[in-house]
Amino acid sequence: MNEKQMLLTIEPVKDHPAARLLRFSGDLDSTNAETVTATVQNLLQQGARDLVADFSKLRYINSTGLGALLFANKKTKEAGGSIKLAAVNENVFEIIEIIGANTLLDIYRTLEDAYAALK
Amino acid sequence: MNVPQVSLESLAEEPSVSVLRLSGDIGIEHISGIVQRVDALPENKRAHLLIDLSAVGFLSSPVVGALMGCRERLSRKGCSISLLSPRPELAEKLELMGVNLVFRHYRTKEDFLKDFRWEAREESRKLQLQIPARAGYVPALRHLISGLLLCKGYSSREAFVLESIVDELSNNAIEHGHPPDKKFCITFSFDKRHARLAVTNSCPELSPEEQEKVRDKFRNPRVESDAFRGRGIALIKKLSDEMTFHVEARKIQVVVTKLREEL
Amino acid sequence: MSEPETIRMEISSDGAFLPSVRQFVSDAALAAGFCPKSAGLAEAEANSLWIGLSGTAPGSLLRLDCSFTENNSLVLTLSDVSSGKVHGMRTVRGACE
Repeated sequence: MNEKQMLLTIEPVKDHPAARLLRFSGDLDSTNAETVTATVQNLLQQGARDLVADFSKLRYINSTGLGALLFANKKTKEAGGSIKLAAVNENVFEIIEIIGANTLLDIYRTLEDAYAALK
Repeated sequence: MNVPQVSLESLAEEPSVSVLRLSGDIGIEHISGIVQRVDALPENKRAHLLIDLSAVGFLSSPVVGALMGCRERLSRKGCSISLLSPRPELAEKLELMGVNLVFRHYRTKEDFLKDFRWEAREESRKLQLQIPARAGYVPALRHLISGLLLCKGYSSREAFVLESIVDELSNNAIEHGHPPDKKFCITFSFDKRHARLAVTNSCPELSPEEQEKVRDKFRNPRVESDAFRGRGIALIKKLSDEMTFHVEARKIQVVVTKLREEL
Repeated sequence: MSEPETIRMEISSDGAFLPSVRQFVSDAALAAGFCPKSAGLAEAEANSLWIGLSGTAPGSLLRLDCSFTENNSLVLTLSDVSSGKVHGMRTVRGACE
């Protein structure tokens, strides 16, 4: 696989059976945003409610990738949960901020902070 | 006739560059000749000094020290000094002495001229791509743009911004342009100070009303707050210093200019 | 890969660009359906085409055509834009993923 493609892995979250940790790495863009929306829908269908997204290895995001995050935000809220983004790098945060999505998404400096915010 | 071991002349291709040509075995006895010539350079000839080592068999350590001293004095006056074409054995010796960390060095005169013209003449670099209108190619394209900028001294943030712009424009051309010839064109030029990117695609024939709708989308990108798509143009506008667009019945072109912030 | 596609690149002949150009060839080959090994070969061939150039004039433009053919091959052609002179051509067979 091209190392610059996006890799998405899913892990359980200790002490939170309805939460899942999504680890992103690489680039989230128009070639793989649909993978994210499909993954989110599958997880919600399987009973997950809260999603924590580890962005520490996410290098790049475009507007389509951001759209996938906003979709995840809406769907998790409809399910009574949330998606929390953690460890967002400077460049990715700037894109989120320019688009105005920083007011819509829950963003945390570290993974620990995001876990702490889980109900 | 003996070739002078130390000579100083202007570079034919760029008269403002002085070339200090050394040949043969250069030892302590040549130091005063080297230093006198370099220190005597008039102001309009010392902005750039190229030390041609292509004909040097041996360079003694004191001479290297003298050249370091010349570099020190010239650098204080804002002048640049570079090495040209040392033979492999000499190049290895200079590397062991750490000289390659202090001096810019070039394998050929052409390499020097390309770098010199980029820095001093603000010569631009160009890229034009005709590429199939498939989303799968866009990551390759944006990584290319980013790579070109980084290797010419743009910061990672500056490269990231241009990478984002080319990504959004390309995806816009593919997803909304639906080019009948199934390709689009990128024209990218950049120099030390700014970058210009144009993305052009053909499109199914647009009526005058449809053309105006497209223009309006570029002029006034409107995004519903909970919409998942449609933010690309707004993002491009905010990342760019200038965005212009040209919409015809069968062709759309968007041109973006970005000035460097971190020069 | 179902139909032939060509990427035409025209680029300033600056040696500093070589790493990015060969990476592009690799990335494009992967996007065209080549396996990573074949994409790596394509990158190596692009590298050898460019390195084989001798003393291009400063300010000159090079053209690199990357033609993905129907039989899963990539034909790389490097030429000079102003003179049209072909500097070299390489073919890489791509095993599809």
